[in-house]
Amino acid sequence: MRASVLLSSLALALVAQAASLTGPRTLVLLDTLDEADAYMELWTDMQERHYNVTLHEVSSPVALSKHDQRLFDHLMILSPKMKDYPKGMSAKSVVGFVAAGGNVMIAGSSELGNTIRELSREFDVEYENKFTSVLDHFNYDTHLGKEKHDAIVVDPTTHMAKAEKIIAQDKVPGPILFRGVAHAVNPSNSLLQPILWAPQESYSWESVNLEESANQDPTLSGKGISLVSVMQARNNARIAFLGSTEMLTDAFFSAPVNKHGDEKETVSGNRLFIEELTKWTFQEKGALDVVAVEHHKVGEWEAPAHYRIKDNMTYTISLAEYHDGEWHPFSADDVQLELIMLDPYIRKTLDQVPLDDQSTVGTFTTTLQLPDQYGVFKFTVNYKRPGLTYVESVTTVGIHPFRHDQYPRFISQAKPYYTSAASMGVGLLVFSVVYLWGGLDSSVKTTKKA
Amino acid sequence: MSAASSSTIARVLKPTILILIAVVAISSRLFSIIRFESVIHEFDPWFNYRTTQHLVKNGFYDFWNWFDEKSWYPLGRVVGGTVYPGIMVTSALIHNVLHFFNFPVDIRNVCVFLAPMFSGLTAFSAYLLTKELKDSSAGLLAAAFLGVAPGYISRSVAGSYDNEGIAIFLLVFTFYLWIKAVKTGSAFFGLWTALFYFYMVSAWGGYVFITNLVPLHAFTLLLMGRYSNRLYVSYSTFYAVGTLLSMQVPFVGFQPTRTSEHMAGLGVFGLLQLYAFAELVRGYVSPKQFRTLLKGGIAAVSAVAVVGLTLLSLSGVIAPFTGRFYSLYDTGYAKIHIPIIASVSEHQPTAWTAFFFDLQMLIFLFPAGVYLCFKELKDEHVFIILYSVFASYFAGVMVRLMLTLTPVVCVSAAIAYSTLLDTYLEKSEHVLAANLKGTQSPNVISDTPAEAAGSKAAGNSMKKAAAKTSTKTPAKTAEPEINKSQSKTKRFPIFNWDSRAMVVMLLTWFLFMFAWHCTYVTSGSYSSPSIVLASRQQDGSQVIIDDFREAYYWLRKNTKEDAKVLAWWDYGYQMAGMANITTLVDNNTWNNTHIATVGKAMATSEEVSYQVLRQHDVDYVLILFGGVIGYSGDDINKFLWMVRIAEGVYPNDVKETNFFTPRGEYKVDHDATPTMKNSLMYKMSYYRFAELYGGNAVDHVRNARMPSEGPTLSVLEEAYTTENWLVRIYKVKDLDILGRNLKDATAFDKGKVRKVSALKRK
Repeated sequence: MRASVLLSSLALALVAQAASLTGPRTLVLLDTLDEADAYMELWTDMQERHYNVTLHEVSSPVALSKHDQRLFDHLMILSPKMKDYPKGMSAKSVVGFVAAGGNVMIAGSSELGNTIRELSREFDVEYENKFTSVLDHFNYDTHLGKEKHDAIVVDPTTHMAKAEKIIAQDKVPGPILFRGVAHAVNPSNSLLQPILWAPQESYSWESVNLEESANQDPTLSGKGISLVSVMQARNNARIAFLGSTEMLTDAFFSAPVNKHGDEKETVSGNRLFIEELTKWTFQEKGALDVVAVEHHKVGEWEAPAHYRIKDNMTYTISLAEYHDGEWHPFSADDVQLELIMLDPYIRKTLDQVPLDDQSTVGTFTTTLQLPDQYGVFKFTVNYKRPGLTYVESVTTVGIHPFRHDQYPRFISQAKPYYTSAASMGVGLLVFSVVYLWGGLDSSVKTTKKA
Repeated sequence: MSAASSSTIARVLKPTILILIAVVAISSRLFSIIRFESVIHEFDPWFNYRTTQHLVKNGFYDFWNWFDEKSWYPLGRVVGGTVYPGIMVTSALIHNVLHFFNFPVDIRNVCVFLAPMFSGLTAFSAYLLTKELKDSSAGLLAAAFLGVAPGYISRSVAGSYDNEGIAIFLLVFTFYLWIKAVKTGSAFFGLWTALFYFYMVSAWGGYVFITNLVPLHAFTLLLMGRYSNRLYVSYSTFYAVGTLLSMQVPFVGFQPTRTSEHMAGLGVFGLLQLYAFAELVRGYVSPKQFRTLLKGGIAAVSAVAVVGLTLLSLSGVIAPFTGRFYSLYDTGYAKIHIPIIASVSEHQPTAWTAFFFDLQMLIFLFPAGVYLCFKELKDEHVFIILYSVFASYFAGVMVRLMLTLTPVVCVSAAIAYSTLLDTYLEKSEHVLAANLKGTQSPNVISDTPAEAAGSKAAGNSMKKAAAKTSTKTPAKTAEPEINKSQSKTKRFPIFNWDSRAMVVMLLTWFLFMFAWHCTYVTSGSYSSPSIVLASRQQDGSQVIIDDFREAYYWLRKNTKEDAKVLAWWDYGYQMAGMANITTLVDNNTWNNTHIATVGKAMATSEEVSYQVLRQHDVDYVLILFGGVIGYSGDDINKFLWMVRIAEGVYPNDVKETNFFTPRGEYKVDHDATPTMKNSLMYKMSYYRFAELYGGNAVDHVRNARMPSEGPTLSVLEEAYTTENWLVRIYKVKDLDILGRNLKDATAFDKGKVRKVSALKRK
């Protein structure tokens, strides 16, 4: 059964202006449709950002793609208890969905089933065992986590990654409430990055039999517990992992926070945190585009078929950044150009052309002298920064040696040799003339020789 | 028969015979075209063909400065400066001339038929050369022999568009001109020798043979006390002009002044000048003074030469002998020091049988011809003797140098054969008698104008025994003496017509056998294009195995234009020529490190290999696998060479011993070592091989029963396998988009889910 609960005609009309770069079609998987009510504020927020949200329960069949075409642009898996995928879906199809450029948001809970756990493993994210929770006896919310100390309060200023392009610090005003399962990320996977992690005093433990005394150390504790992590796949598809479905609910979105030991009551920052997270995950911001790459010799304007060694040339790359529904000029001071033939021969930081009101793209340029080495070079801009899509612009250009007539014809050092050769020639000529017509009587000698 | 009419007949017959010889020479090289089609053969010809196409399309200036970005990726190759352009320029010239006269001949056909056409010219030059040594009848025989000798055909069948195709003609013709120059002492012929030497330099690296043989000839003449102004003029002209010209070829450049291979020419040139100077001085001073001067002069010159050469060699101005040269000197050298040279089959020492196979009866006549040269021993005969000695040695060291031996064998054999015929076909016995006495026989028909030169030479040689310098004594003065001796000799029984007929018939029978053998060898062994294979089925019907072209065509049509394909260097030229893709290494083995890198990619495990593949932007990997049809020239059989070459550069990553079982065997079946089984080459070769036979696969090349469970591949995926599995092409996977290693990603794609995570610490 498919229910497009919030599919309003307004949303349809605004499809063209969808805030997301990749599209508005969003599939939300829920354990049961009844749960949808808990997330009303989330749906409202997303609808305002022109998402076309399809709610779906796991018991009914659904397909992510048809004829190798994605049917959805974004997938939210808010069904932690899921035992099997809906008919038509599989772990492979989710990975295939990501490979086709779809964005995914996965949220767990203490009752996380093996299906999600195995799927996350492919992304090098490991959720803790079933029925465990992140517990903290110091940083819990006195209201929501009164019994088990499992609703923990995380301070975004200290426990959130400082990745401005994903979630800017100043966008999240209040502490973040979290109740759910811990996960760990593989630190060797450079695509993956924890965004929110647990306070130092937290640990992950079974939340069912809390009365029993612990006889071993928790597997995960403190900073090792990731609460929210994000991955940007190599094809720039984005995936977010949350340990808690509850932090998306209305109850957590605007709950008053009473941290244990704190007198002051504050308002939860969950709503804005999730808004920023979904904006990033669903590619509403932080997307870069290589608009143009130009290169030419100094003094020319067309790209040559090939360069010659030690030519002076100019390289220009134009980048645009997508946020708030449209493309803006990108500005940075750390965009580098590399000339690679097996190894980089030249690595140089590009200068940004100052932006003005008319600028639609950020232009980065440099002028350099090519190396004294011929071969097939790659002019590479390899710009990978957290939160931004990967820019890997490769222009392959041959650098040729001098042609045989491009060397200097005469060199000054060789002047003695030129003189010597010329004088030799003149001498021979004079000698021949003198010998033949100079009136010398040479007949005696010549006959002798014969 | 009157003298006048026989001369007319000879005048008509000789060109006719020569033309017929050329026709035979050309047509016996066309087997491959009739049997297969007009294609370029083997490996190197594909490069020559590709560069010729470039030359025809873009003109000479562009060709001269061609920087090829498609080979040796990413290093590129300066083609114009690393190629002997002779053959390409020749073809392009022929092509342009034909097009000027509106014959729209495709450049491919010019290339295919170039070598056979030049073989006709080679036969003609052999005629000229032998004529200088003996007479025109021996010349005709030499032309006929060289026209069909398999030793030369092996490199000049239609489609074998290689440097040697024209170089052998140039070699023989240059030698002819040199002999002519020495005989006449004319600067004109010396100049022509130099010009053809230049053509030879521009056509083949084997020009070094001329560079050393001609000075050696001059030096030997000097030692024999045969210094003459003729020698001085011809050698000085040849050396000065030839060296200057040869330096105009970019690939040769300054080598004539710097490398040891060229030093002999320079040394002899200097020596000749000194000798000439000494001769000059001798005319002005008394013998006693001259002796003192000579002693002092020799001591001073040799001291200066020794010190100078040592200093120059030590300071590196004169390069030491190159590896290829050492391997000529010591056959074991290459195997130890330069595996890349040893790995080439044509650089292997020659098997004894090859001499008979390539030359048949000529190899028996060859020593006889050399002996006859000794008997005569004029300046030009010294040359032939030197040529035969050195060419025999080199042909014994390296298979492909059989090619330089063949012309001299043909010439010597023709001299011997012609002498036999002269002896036994002669109408009058006086010739025989004269021969038995050890004196030279003038020909009976020598009074005809056409033969005047020959008879003069013969007459001269008799005089020469007494007088060193050549005189212009007319031949006729010799004849009365012979006439006298003729009247005195008795009639030997073996000079009866029946015994003579037996000898002549036997000789003729040999000729038939020779022609039959040559045709048989040419059609059977030397006419396979090697890019198309033919095999016979049990019922005798022929099957054409065209997997190479199938694979190259697939690459041409299905890969993006700048796709980079990694393969062992043997196939580089073919891939570039036929598939038009970018290759990493090819048959121009100039960069050992790059080849070793490819060897490393083949010989290491998938993980190590993947790094190499990524670094070189490789899109596809191509290998040859003969296990299905039993093609023994496949990559698993060449694999040990890849390992050896890789080990030379990357001793930490590749070790040859790890590819041998503890019992020292090279195995591919159950007993294969783990290193072997994990190597990329093994995996690519046997990937899904077991499935083909339902688990009971047998490798037909190595007669090995393969394990029922074949290897798995994770960094590559099979892209294409040809009909007979001869060529297999794999695509290199991109990095996993989720950052997993490719082994896990492949397992996941096959439906295996990671059950236990490595992240769990407890």
